[in-house]
Amino acid sequence: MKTLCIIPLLVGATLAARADITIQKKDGTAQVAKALRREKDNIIATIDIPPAKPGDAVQTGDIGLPIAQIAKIEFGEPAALKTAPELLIKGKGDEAMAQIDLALKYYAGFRDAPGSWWADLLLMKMNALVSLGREKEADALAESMNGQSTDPESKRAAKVLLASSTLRKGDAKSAAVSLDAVLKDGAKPDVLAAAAIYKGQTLLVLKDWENALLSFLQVPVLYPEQKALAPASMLGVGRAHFGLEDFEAAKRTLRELMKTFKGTPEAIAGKAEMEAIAKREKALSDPTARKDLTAPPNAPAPN
Amino acid sequence: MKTLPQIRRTVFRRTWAAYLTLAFALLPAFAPAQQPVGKSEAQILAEIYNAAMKAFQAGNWSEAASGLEKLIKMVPNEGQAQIHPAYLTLGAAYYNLPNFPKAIEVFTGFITRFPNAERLMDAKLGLGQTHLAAKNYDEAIKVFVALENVAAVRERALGSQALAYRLQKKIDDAIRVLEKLVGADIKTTPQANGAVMLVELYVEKNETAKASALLEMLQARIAIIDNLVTLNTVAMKLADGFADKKMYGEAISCYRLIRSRDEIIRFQTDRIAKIEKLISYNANVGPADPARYVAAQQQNNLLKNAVEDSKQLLAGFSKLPDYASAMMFRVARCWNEWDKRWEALVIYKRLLAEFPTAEEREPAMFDIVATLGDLNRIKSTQAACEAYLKEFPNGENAGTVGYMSGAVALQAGDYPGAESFFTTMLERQPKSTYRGTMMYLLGNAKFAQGRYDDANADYEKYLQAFPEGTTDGAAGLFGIGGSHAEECTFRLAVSQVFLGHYEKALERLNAYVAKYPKGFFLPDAKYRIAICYYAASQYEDVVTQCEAWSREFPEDQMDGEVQALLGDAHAALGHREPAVTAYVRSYKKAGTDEVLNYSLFEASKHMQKLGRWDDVGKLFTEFVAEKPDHPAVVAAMYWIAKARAKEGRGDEAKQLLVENLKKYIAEPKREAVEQLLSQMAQLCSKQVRSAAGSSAAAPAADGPPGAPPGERTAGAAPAEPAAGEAPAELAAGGVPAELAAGGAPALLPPYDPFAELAKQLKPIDDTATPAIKARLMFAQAEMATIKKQPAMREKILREMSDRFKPEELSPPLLALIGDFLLEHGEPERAAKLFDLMRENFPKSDHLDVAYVGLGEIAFAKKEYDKALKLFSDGLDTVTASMKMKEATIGKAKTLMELGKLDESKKLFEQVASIREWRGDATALAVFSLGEIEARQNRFPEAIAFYRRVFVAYQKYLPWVAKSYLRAADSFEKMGKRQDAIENLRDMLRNEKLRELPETQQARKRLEEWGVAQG
Repeated sequence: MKTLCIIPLLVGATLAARADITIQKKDGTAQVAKALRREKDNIIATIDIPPAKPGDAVQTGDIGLPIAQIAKIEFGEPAALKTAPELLIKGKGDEAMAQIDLALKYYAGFRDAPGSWWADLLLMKMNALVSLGREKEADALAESMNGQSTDPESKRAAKVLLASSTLRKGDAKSAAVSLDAVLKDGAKPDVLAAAAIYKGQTLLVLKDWENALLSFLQVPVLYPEQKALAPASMLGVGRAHFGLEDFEAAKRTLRELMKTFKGTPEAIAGKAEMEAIAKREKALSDPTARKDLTAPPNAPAPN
Repeated sequence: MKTLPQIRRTVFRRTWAAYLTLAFALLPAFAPAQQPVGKSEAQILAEIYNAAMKAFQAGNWSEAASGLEKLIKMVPNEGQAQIHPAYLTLGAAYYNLPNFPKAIEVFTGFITRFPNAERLMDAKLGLGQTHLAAKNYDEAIKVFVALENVAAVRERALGSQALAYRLQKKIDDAIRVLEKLVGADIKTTPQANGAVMLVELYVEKNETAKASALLEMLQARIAIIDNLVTLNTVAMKLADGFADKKMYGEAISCYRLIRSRDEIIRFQTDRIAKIEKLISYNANVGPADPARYVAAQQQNNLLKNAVEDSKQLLAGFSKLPDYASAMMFRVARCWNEWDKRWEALVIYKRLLAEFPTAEEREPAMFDIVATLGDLNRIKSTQAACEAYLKEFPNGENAGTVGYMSGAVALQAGDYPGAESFFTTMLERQPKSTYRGTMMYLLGNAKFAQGRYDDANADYEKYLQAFPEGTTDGAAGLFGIGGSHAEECTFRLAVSQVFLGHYEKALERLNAYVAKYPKGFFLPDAKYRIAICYYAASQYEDVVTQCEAWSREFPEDQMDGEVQALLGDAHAALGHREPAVTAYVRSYKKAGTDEVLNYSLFEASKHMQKLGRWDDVGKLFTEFVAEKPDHPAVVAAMYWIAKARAKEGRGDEAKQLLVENLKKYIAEPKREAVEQLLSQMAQLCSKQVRSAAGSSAAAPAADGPPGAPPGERTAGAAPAEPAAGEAPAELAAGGVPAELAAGGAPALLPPYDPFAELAKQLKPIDDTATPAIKARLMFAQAEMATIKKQPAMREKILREMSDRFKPEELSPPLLALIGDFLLEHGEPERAAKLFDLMRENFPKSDHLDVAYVGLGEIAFAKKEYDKALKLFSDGLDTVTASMKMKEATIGKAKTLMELGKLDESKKLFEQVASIREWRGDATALAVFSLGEIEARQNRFPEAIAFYRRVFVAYQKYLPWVAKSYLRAADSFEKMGKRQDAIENLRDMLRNEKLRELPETQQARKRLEEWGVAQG
């Protein structure tokens, strides 16, 4: 076994030493930065300056890199993208929002920098606002993002935000067209998952229950790591089953929603949905509801 | 790709090459210090040493070993310590030969002779590795166990120890050691590599949960994993294992951990690039800094080997085909077998979108068909069938899909669709496994459309092709079975019954009975034979056959139908008593509500004809007792009350109504409650003195049993006395009640029917909820109608519309108030009520009122597509038939507005031809037929229709007025102004039209034309 371990140990140890932010430049070179800040159209990177001779202390200094020359900044994934969903699904929307806002503040300076997490955070914030019923704020956010993104994935995130806003304004068909484009070309799971949720919602509005169901199910099936969207997905799945008149599946899903994501706005909506289902079931199953007293012909139906 | 032992051995050699390099590097440092050795000897030793090292580097192990042996022998004892690295190289050379005993001897000698040497641990590791390679597992383990506590080599010692156990198949021990190595968290590459092995062992031991958890942990640390390919393989194996054990959730989680081919290649490529970068960095370190130089050289040798390994791995992996679509298919199958079919569809559809040419495409498309079929999504299944057949007309599953495309249509009741599918499939797939079944089902599809002759042609074809009925392949498929000869024979016979060819039917039914004396359809066939005799008016035979049938099939579910037929035969023979007996038995045995209702009300009808009103009461009382939840219960109450009234027990009738109203009035879906309330209003509408002259109750007349109510739609409560019944104010024998008491009429206080109604309903009113109050107000509105007080009725309905929330109204009241609001120009409010009906009472008898009302609202807004859907649904989808006429007219006029004139014309012709709708609707229909002609510029034809209106339907003034105007328009368009003028003058001469707005229009037009009005 020794032989299997020795080489990677050395390599791994060496590679593990790198933990700073790498800036990949368009010319193929890279720059490792200790810290970054924004100044106009430049990213100012604080970098280590190698010692002039062995034994000297490493010093730091700033260099400016024009954004136009940067292919990607390899920011570490903001913790809020992991912690906020956890808080959201526990019904702690305000805490989640505070974390997202804090992270957004940092990334605000890098919103148009390739590799920025700004669009992801904004998308999460908007999903959270919608989930919390703060739809006007969500719409304002969608408007604010318009035109501020440069890289394709951020543009797609912006498109999702705007489509959801369009949907809330009642134009489901236009929203669906925008979302289809995102779903066709998108690559980032958070953007795709959000697009799938809003697409599901447009399909609910259009009463295309089957495709709505398939759209909502994309979250647990294809993007299960997008936990923040799980309650919205489950609510959508329940509603789509309801639309398909599969009441058992709808109730099962909504019960799970209320149990798993207790306290979330979606769970509360799920409860209302359960009541609507009960009402509908009663309406359909009441034996007294239908009577056909017409005298039949003597010959029963052939089939 | 290299196997595990190959990798192990190769890298082991390279590891020793690293020591060799180190020895080279150190040589200049120690060579000048060889004081006991003479200069020339030192040179000789250096030459021997360098030659041995060169041989080692070239992989010439034997030469290297012999050189080093020679060197060691030449160095005196006191110098041995200074050349101890040469011992390690010698051990490595023997290992690599392989000569394990010699290697063991060398390493053991080193350990004994140089217990304080800097490289003691390397020697011990070398010894352990050699024992391992020599399969001296116990010895190897001893060595590695001893090294466990040495921090610098702990991980390598544990890893090797685990390998030794694994090679001995001591899995538990290997797991124990690896768990020690991996610990709570994975931070180093040896740990990660150990963890990969541990996952494999967990899988072997079926400790799937542990395997899964560890695999997940590893996925988060792929940067330090040596061999991502192995990890992928393990994940795949684990996932497949989970799937085999039907642990689908776990399997799917594992499949998700498998990296794509592109990802692995990217990972390996990046890894190579990073290592090469490090090599380049190390190469820049010069000999000026000996310590860093030696370390850099040593590391670079290791890194070069790592690059070589990674490149080999990458090259091997790159040759493998992409497995993404196969894996996705497996995931979809997991969801499917997990009974999570919608989730499976998500994956199947993704697979089709992402892999347009994958070999899994055909089975995926077939699975979509089957999955949608399982989910009972008929239209989607059909679409999926079409998609499959378009892409794979000769696919492996084309036969099944072809069959399914028709079968699902049939299942959905889409008989024309099923016919089309089966016809196409039989043409496209003449050798299909399911040909026989498709032929039979094609016949059924036609049969269900009432095209019995066409169906019979298919059945005949089937019987010719499969005389014994056994078809290939379809046995048990979707519950249809594979043999259809008997059913085809039966259907051929029974279709003749439906065609009215009773003689032919009789012949074929008898043939069926003869051929299948124990056939599945025998009871049905014998019942149909009796029907043939009934059709031939051979009622005595029918009675005989039905009685024989009951003896032969006493428990058969068709008994209800047979008893109904027996009742009909007795009735036809004028045998009312046995007819009643048969009908009563029929309703009790009925398998369907249809038969139950028919027989129950036929029994009632014949009892009424026999004047047995007490039995009518008993019949319905018994029915209510036996089937208290049956939808017809409230209607039965109506008849019980009517029977009481007929028997002169008006007070009892009212009491019964009140009792039942108390019971049911709070249930909005008991729509017959409104009938009971109407009946109560009827009973209270006239003051009737009983024979004893004591009560204001209405003793219903028991006049001659002319046309009994039972002849109407059975159970429907008529609001007026049926023909032949005495009006309520007449007592027995049609004598005015006041006189019937036998004395001179006493002075009576004025009778207030509204007060009487209120008095009767007071027990209910006292505790009434708003919903009940609404129903009670309905009773008052009914009274206003009976008493011909339209203003009062309108006032009551207005109050109801303002006072009650929509949620408080029963379906009949929602329909009533909705219509009221619509008539009074409040479509928005009406729409709310109609929407609520659709939402909350989808099975209401009054539901079509909602559809028609909403249709009219949409029509008024010129939303014709929406209106068409609503009217069509009101006619076709909703089974209620309160507003069939309005729905038909609505659909016809909407079609006209949509320019679908032919369809519109057909419907208007239908409206005009239905006798029961004769009146305003006929006038409208004829006028509209004129409009349809006019829209096609066929003005003479249009004028003919308009003339029909003002000639034949003069009573319907608005249509007459409109027809005059439109006729004038048509004349004008034909260039016949004079005829137009005459037409308008005719119109103005009609006094009855004077107040209508069209008359003003006619005057205006004549003025415009500058002609006199008469």
